[in-house]
Amino acid sequence: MSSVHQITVYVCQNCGWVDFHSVTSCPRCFGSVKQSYVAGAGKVVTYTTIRYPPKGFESQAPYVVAIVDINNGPRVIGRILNSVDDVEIGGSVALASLKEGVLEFQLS
Amino acid sequence: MTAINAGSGRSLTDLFTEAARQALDDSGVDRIDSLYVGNMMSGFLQKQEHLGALMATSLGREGVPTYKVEAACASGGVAVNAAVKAVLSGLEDIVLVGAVEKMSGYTTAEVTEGLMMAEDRLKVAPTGVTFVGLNAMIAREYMHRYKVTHESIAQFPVLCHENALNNPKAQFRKKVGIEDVLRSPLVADPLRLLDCSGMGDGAAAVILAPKDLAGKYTDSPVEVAASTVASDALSLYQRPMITTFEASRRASDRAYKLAGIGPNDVDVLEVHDAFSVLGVMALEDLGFAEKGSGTKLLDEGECAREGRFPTNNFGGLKARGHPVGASGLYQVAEVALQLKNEAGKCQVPGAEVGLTQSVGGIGSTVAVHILQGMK
Repeated sequence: MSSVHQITVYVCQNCGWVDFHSVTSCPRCFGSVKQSYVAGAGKVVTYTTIRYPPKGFESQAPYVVAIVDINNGPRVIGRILNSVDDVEIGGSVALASLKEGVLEFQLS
Repeated sequence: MTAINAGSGRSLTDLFTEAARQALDDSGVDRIDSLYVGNMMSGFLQKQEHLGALMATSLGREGVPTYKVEAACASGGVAVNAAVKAVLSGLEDIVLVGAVEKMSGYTTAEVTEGLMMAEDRLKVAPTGVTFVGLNAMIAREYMHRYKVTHESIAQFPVLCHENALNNPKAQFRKKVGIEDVLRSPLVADPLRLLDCSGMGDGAAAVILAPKDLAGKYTDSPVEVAASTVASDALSLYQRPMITTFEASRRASDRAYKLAGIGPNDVDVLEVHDAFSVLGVMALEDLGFAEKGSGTKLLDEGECAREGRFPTNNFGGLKARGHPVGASGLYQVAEVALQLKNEAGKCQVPGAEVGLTQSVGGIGSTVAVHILQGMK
């Protein structure tokens, strides 16, 4: 079973491609994929603060968005819940929640 | 080309027909065999699609085959590529290709949402990231990886603003300094307001024809020596390396091969500086500088009019303006004017070879054109 501390991933049984998003077959080799889980921990690749959000996100701004390399898993995009002043490239993060499909991390 | 501005209240059709009629008049062609229209957001912002037939009708050219071409901010550049292929196919001889975008009259949040349609609606948009935000993430990683300061990168918009002073059609004809960029309001850290292109309305158009026909209409035709398009993974997070646009490298490598030239042969270039860092990356990805050292060209003045690689001589996306789907066509029209020695105060003396780079999405589609004067 998946918990908030794990991330569901889809792994190609043929070439090993890993995707966070649900795929019915591998986008690279069209091989069959199998659902798997990895620990929701990783490192920050890069990040920013959104100060002028798109329509529908106005009440949440400002918020931190980051690209994260999940340890032994895929590269993903999600939110970081901490203050932007505390975030740095290479910093460790852990999954805090998965809210409506959006990964939310906290510094760890 | 129309002047670019915001708040004119002009319609898509009004903008497009001004540019198209100007191209038809300037070229002196007596017919067109087809019409290509580049645009990104008319469906979302104006609730208007079917721009091919709409614009053909507005030009009194109903009857010709028409096509709308969409590739986000590269729509204009990709439309030119499609039109070039039409001419090369031999099926259509005289082709009008234009591009238009109208971004004013909407809230920033609306336009921001529209621009995010260039990214993955299901996987990326739900995070609330914006296009400025994606480019800010590139800028952050670029500055970290190559130890380049924001001050160095800010030279790019400063150059563009300087050049736009010479372009009567530019949207932002105002000199800015490095300090102005660094002190402007944060939009998405580390990018500030003056790192970013603005929102404007505009349209541009050119006429394409086979070489033998072009000579019948003009004494100074410009040759399309190469027209290439390349793509990359749609989303930034799907790429192992985010400080290079592989699509730029692919499109330009192929263009240089097709034209039989290299970066050192280019006399003028117009690159896609929607954000300051993209201008610097373009210099690298297109082969003018080593990776991580694009700002050195700026330090040394090589991108200025007197330098080796005069860049964004009409002001670029930053200062000429960036009506997104039309920008790629502005670039091609501007370089064509350079090679015809008709660029007015923006003229780079003696320019014979020019290059344009138009980027769609976050480097997901790139169109490159190499043009040369026909002596």
